[in-house]
Amino acid sequence: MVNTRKVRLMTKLAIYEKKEGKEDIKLGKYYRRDFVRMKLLQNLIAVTIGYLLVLAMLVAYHMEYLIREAVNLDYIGIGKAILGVYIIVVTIYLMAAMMGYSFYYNYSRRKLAKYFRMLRKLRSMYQEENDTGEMED
Amino acid sequence: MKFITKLLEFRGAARRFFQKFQLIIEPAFRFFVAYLVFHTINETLNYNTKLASPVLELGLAAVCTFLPQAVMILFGALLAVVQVYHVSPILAALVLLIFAVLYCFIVRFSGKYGYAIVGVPILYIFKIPYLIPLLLGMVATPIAIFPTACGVIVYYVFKVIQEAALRQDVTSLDATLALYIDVANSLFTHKAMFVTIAVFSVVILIMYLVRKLRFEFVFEITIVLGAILNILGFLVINLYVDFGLDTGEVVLGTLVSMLLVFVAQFFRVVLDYMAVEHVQFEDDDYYYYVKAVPKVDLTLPEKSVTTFSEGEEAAETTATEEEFEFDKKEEVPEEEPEPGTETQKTEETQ
Repeated sequence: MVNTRKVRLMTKLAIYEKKEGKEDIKLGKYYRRDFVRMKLLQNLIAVTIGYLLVLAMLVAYHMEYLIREAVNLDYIGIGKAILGVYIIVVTIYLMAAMMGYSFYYNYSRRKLAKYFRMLRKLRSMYQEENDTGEMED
Repeated sequence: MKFITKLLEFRGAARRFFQKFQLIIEPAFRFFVAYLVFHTINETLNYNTKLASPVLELGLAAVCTFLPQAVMILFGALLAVVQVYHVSPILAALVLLIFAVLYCFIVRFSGKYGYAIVGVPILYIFKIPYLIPLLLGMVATPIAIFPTACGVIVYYVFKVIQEAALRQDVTSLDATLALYIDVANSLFTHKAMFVTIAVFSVVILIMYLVRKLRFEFVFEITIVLGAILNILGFLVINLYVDFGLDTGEVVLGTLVSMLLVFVAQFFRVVLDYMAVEHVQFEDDDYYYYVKAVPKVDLTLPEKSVTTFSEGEEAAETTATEEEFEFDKKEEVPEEEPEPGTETQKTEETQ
């Protein structure tokens, strides 16, 4: 005899696992701190590459001037400016990413908690079934 | 009120149609969008006629139908670079660099709203790019600002490249550098690009904040507010920074976009709840192949006809509109079973 209550619960669980649960369950393996750090590292790498590309484009744009003034340029000043802007850009990006990913992690954990509650309920159903079976025996 | 009733019935019919042909409609839609993207790129940057062949466009679209949207965006970007390479390698390198920078800073945060990146340039052709911020303001979180901004930049990059490709005749390094500087100048002096990004961002953000509030007709008010903000944003900024705004185009485009968003909002319930889920799982006794149908429907009007005996006037009473149950997704308490679950079971054979 099919237990319809159990099937409905299992269907709910299966739909969740098939869709958004995939990402949530994968994410649930991390501590929040580890997850956010990993994302921050990815962002740091991406922003650094992006910044270097922008710098390369800027150098190409001012190439004529840079070649003409190569001897007279204040390289230390330019270096400081490049580093300063880089620090500002990275700080803004990482702060935003930290907030965004923390929020995302918490949201995902809330959904996962609901999923675990349903799993516990399923387990208790199994328990009930087993107990009833033993009583009948 | 009859008109509204008819509309609601139509929406119910549309939902049933979607549910029935869901397995065909979804891939067909993805195919259509992918084809539109590749076709638009080839139309805009048609420098290599071999690449612009319909066979290639259809083939790429067919491949992208079964792959994530990020792959379609990647193919679109590569197609654009290859097209531009045919007219000028230096311009192609520049486009590639711009795409790489956009990826590093913006595209990575697009998530499921990546369609906005290709949607904005395509809708610019139809003069209704305002549809994207108005639509995303209704359905997305403020993260959608990133792909929308990216879409605007991509549109202006294509525009500048089109102009540059006409006058490129680079043979020396100096000429290459001059072309590069020229393109960079053209791109960054397009005030309209920055203004559009700013206005679209504000529209998405404000619409998101307003639609989260709880008051009557919140969705309708949010859409109208978004449209007003969009028009006013462009008009007011144009007063201070003249960027060659076509007022009529903005007003008309926004109004058309607003109407389309109203239509989308009306049918949103169809798209939100249409998904029929097919799942399979097992327990100790059975394998289950389950088709779960969302339990939302508009009850069709039931006409009850009462016939009086001869001599009396025949009367026909019709169910009043209050008898309608409008589409809604019921919050089911956890203890309650999931509604609308059809189960087929196959006994495990040993």
